[in-house]
Amino acid sequence: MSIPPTEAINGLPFPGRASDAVFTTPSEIERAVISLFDQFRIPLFRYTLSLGLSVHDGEEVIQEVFLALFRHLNLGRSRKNLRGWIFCVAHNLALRQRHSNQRSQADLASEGAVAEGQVDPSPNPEEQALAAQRRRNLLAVVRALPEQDQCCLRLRAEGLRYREIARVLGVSLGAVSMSLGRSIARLMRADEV
Amino acid sequence: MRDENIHPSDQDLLLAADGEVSQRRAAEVRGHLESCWQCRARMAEIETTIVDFVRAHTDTAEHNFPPAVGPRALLKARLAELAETSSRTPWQALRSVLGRRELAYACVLMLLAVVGVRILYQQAIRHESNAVVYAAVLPDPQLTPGATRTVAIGDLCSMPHEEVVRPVPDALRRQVLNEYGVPNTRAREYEVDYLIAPGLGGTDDIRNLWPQPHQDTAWNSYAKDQLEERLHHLVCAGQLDVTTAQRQIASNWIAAYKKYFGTDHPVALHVRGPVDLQFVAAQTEHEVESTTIGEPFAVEILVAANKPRYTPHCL
Repeated sequence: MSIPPTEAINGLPFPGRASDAVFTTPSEIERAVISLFDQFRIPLFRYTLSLGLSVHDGEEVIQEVFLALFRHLNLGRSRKNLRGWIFCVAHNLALRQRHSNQRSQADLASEGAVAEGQVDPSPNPEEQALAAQRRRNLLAVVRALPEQDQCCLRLRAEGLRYREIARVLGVSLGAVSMSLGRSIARLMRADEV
Repeated sequence: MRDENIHPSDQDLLLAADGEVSQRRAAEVRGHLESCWQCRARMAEIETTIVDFVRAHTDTAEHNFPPAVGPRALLKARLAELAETSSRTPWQALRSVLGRRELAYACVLMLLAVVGVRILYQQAIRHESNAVVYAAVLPDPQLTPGATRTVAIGDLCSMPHEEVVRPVPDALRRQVLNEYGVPNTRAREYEVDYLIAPGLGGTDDIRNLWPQPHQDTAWNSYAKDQLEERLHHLVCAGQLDVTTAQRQIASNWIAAYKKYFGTDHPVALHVRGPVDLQFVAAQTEHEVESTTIGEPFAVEILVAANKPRYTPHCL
C-alpha cells in the first residue's frame, strides 16, 4: 500500500520545523494554504463524498477547511501534523453538513454506480469485467461496514497514519488498529459474498 | 520475546505492513515471513486486498470532481480578503465600515459613554462599603427576616451562650442552601446560621436561618459568633434589653457589631486552631498581644482575660 510519508507535510513553505513558533505574514500563509489546497483537494473530495456529501457540498466544505486553516495559521497555532488537522476539520464539517442536509440514502448509491462505470486499463474485456466485479464487491463490503470502520479505512487509504486517524475520529489508537484489521479481513472475503 | 515459529495473526501482519509496530516486532515478523511461505501468501493476500481497495477508492467518482481551477481561484479570493482583514488595524476596519460623519458621531457617543461610566463608577465606589460588602454577608430580609420564641431571661442565661445553640438539622440546612441558590459544590463554604441566635431567643425556623460565608469576607460567621456572645453577655448582665438585641442583630448584624465592639473591623482573628483561640468580648477590655504567626497569615492574637473560651467551627 502506497503511503505518502508524514514528512511530506514538512515540504510546505513554512520556515523552521513544525513545532517552531515562527510567525509568517498573512500573504505567506495564504500561499502556503493554496499549496495545501492543491495537495489535498482530491483526497478531501473523496473523503467528504464518501461521507455522503454531494459534490457541491464537498467543494464548499473543502473551501471552509482551508479558510479555517488560514485562520488557524494566522493565529500562530500549531503547525504540527497539518494533514491530520485538515482531515479532522474536514471530517467534522462534513458530518455537520450531512446532518443539516439529512441527505437521502439514495444519493449514497451513486458511489457504486460510478465505480461500475470506470474504465479499467486491463488488457482484455474478460479481465476488465473481472476487475469491475472485484471493485463492486469491495465497495459493497465497504458500504456494509459501520461508519467508523469506513472512515478508518478511507482515511488510511488517503495516507493517514493510525495516530492521525485516531485524532480525526476521536478514538483510541487500539480502536483504529482493530477497525482496520476487521475491515481488511472482510475485504479479503469480498469475492465470497 | 516471541517465538519466530509462531505464525503472526492477520492483525499483526497488517500492523507490520503499516509500520505500526516496534522495530523489534517488525524484525520478528520479517524474519518469520522469510521462513514461512504460508504467512507470505497471507501477507500477499492482504497487500492485494489493500491495493484493490485503494484503487477502487481512488477511482470512485474521481471523474465527477469538478476541475480545481474555479474553486482554487475562489479560495484565493476569499483568502486574500481574509488576509486583508486580518492585517488591518481596528481603526482601519472601522473606517471601512463607517463614513467620516458617522465616525465623528460614533466618537462623540463613545466619549459620552466613557464620561458616564466614570461618573457611575465613582458613585459605586462611594457606596461600596455599604452595598457591595454587605450584599455578600447580610441575609436577604425577604427570605430571612428573623424569628423568635417566647423565653425567659433566666432560661437564656442559665447556661453559656454556645451551649444554647443546637446544630441545624441536615434537611433544614439543605433547604436553606437551596432557597439561597447555593450550589452543592460550594455548600461547605457556608455555615447555615441563625440570624437571631438561640441564645438571644431565636428559633430554628427557616425564616431565621441563612447561609453565611465562613471565610470569603472579614464579616464572616466567626465575627457574627463573637457578636452573639457579646449580646448574650450584655443581655444576661442586664445591660441590654433582649428585644433590642434581637431587633438589632436581625436588621443589620454588622452595624450591631460595629456598635457593640466599637470598631469598623472584626476583631481578633486567629489561626492556631481551636485550642488556642480566644474570644474577645470588647477590644477596650483587653490586653492585646500583637503576634505575627508567619506569612501570609499574619494576624493579631487578642487574649481576653476571664472570658469563656471560644470554640469555632471546624476549619
